[in-house]
Amino acid sequence: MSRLDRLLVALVGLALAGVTVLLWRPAQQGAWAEVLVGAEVVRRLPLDHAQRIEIGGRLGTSVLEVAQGRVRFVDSPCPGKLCVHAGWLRHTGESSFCLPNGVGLRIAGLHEVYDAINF
Amino acid sequence: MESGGMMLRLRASEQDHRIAQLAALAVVIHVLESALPSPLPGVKPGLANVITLAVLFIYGLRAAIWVSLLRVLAGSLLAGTFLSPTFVLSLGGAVSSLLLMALLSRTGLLLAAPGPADWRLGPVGVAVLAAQAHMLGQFALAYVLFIPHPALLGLLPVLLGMALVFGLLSGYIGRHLLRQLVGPDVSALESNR
Repeated sequence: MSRLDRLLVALVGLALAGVTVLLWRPAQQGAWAEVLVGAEVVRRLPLDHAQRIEIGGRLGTSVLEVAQGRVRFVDSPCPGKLCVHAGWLRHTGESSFCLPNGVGLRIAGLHEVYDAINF
Repeated sequence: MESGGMMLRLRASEQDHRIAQLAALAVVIHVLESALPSPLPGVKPGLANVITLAVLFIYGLRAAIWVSLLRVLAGSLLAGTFLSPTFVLSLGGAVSSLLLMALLSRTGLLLAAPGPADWRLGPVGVAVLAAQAHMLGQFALAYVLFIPHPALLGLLPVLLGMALVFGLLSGYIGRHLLRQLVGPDVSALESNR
């Protein structure tokens, strides 16, 4: 192998490492959760502070839980429980809504990421 | 009945024969290789390109382009993938790596060109760069034409890593082949460009 061969193979290896680091970065962690009742943001919950809160809606009380940097619906007075089954939300842009009760939960952060790109 | 028409005779030169033989060899490798199971779609050793590589160093760019494109065409006809997505990707990869080889060849960076050998590219360097070009071209094509989804990008490091490994492999095999064919001093080759 000539010197240029060695140099270029090393450069390709480095570029590969760079591309890997760049493309395999963990997704952006959300900073706080916004609680919505109707279209209004009624509370902002920091994700680093574990707590359980109750939010009143059209049908009754929705129970939310923050733990380990994530947030979820624990219970809600709706027939389908889609909001509960959505599970833990962690990343900016993730959301879960209890439409019957009119209570929503979404993660906001400093850097909003697109959840879909159309072109 | 014999009319006074003229017969057109195509004269095949010595080099035409050699290119056809080498392309046939590449096609055989290509077809044998496509019978191997692959752990990931799009990952193939691409050992047929060892022939392209050797041809580039011995006969120059023009012959390498012929051998590579003939290999893609005949290989797809034999595998039954002509004009299918597989063929489009195969052609895209071949064209990308040929463009890179053209760039290296035109800028006189190949070891076959005259000049100090230390700062010329040998078969291993060319194979590694060509493999990356091949994979990037193919990936760009797959992204634009078939799966325009950002999640596909997560696959890119794996694909480029495999391209690096197989590029090195093809490069070393190509270097061995060149030594068998023309002796240890590749830089002494007269280039047909």
